[in-house]
Amino acid sequence: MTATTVIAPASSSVGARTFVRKLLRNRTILFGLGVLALLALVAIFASVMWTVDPSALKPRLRLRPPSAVNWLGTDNLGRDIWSRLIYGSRVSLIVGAVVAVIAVIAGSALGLIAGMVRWIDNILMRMMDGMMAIPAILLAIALIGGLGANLVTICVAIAIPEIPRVARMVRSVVLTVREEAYVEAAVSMGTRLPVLVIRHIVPNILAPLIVQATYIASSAILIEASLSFLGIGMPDEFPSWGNMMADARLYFQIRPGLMLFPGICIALTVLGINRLGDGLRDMLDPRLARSVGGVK
Amino acid sequence: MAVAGVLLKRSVSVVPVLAVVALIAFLLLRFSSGDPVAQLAGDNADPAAIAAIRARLGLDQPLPVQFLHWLWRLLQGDLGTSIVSNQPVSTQIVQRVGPTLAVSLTTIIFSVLVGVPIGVLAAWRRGGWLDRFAMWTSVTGFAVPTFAIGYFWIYLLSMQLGLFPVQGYASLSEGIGRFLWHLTLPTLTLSLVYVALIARVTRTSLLEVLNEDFVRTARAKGLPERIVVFKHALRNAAVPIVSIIGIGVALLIGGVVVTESVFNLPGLGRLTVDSVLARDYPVIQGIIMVFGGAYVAINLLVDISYSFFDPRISAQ
Repeated sequence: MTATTVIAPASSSVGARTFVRKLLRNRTILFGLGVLALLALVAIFASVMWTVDPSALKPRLRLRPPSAVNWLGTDNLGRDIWSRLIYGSRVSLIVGAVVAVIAVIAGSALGLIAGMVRWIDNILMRMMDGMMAIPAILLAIALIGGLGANLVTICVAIAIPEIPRVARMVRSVVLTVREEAYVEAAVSMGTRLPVLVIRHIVPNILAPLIVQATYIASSAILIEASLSFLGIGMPDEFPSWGNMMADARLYFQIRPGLMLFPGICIALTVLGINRLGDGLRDMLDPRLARSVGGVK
Repeated sequence: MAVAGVLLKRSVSVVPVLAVVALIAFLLLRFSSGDPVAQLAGDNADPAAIAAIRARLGLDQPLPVQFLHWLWRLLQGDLGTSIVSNQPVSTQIVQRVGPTLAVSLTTIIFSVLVGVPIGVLAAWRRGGWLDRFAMWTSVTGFAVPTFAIGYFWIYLLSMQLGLFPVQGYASLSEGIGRFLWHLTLPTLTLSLVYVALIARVTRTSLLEVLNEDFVRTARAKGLPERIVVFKHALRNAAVPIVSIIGIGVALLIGGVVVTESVFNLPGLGRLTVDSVLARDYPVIQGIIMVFGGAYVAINLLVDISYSFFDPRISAQ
């Protein structure tokens, strides 16, 4: 038995259960989880929930008001708004999740390397500074200009500008943890590097990483919507909320719903994920809550 | 002496960041799909003509050499030539920078003028209706896409009430009234998030300062609350407020790109989108350099201003 096992926090099913109970008692987190669960259900069961083929063009039924067939009316090409909203949830959910995963994995890897290896640290962090000097949406636009637009390239293009932010945070945690006496003790006992990372670094970055992942997901959804709106995001044959609002530009004076419904979907989704992040942040790390000016 | 030293040290530290921005802009062109040379040569060019263009642009040389060339030309202020219009990129950027600069400046000014007082009042009457209203506005404001806010203002203030033009831009030479009249809706659109951000940070920062001993002393010696808050507390709360203005610039630039599209302003944001759609890489590179440079410059200014608000910082 090594010293590290003694120091590692005991994880038992009892601890997990109190954690879940704490989660469910927090109204902010509950709201966020509820919105996410609803969105996930809609995205998974989209094919059951849409009433009309979301891509079917019915030029004779353009810009119709809500009816029994078209629950929320039709757009300028006669496509059913309700069905397109339902389908559009998939794009937002996939983009949010994939971008968060890419950014967290790549950023953590770079942050770990920077925090552990001195000579790489300087070069890597200068690269990250340079990337952060370019506004995220601009870098994403430029990357899509180079890569072309489809679901994969959009996710990559939105994820890349987020990587430096994750890397910076992970690096700073690694640098702090490295100086702790228990890590020094582990090193002096000959603990191997992978064990050191898993036992001591990972538990320390997990909480801030989860919080950051929620913010990355919500900002990714907003950026995807903006890109689609600008006409350089999802190709037009995919119904995405951003695309729907782009299509609505010329017609929303006649049918404000064309702009309003997808707008509400985006806002509610992002709000839910942000609240989840705020709640988790306040619960997991009260110090962070103060420095960012958390909303209670 | 101290200020000049700080200025010099910070200015030098900015150089590697700008070099990395240049490297990213450079790599973007080299690794993009599709051959820009073939595009430049046109559809009917023969291989010899393409090779000639490639040689003229120096694209037949190894990557590091190409990068040094690109850096060298950048240092001389040469951003290359647009593939689409054949104009120098720098000329195009200068032509389009006006509206972007105008709407950015009005947004920063408006946001500070509105955001700081809201933050002060929210901290002063903590838990009051303004405090709660400001916090909820910021929470929801961050969730709504910029372009949706833009269309909300268009719908409400121009279409329904007819107060402002729906779209378009009037330069300053057409008179300050017309200029501001066209900028009102874009400014309101861009400001929402920025006001929320500034108000939130002002509130947090001020609340911290209001708990300090010197504030209690100021109150104890009978100074009016007005003077305690504005003269003693606010100045000491200034550093986080100023730094959020710097951090917010990235957010602002991102918002400008979208807002210009909504209101059809002929600025750099429109130019970015048009260039991406036309695959005009030299222009995209130039815009990245300009926005990256602006971001770095503004944050440099913010850093330097710290020593003005808090003399202790320059001493370090």
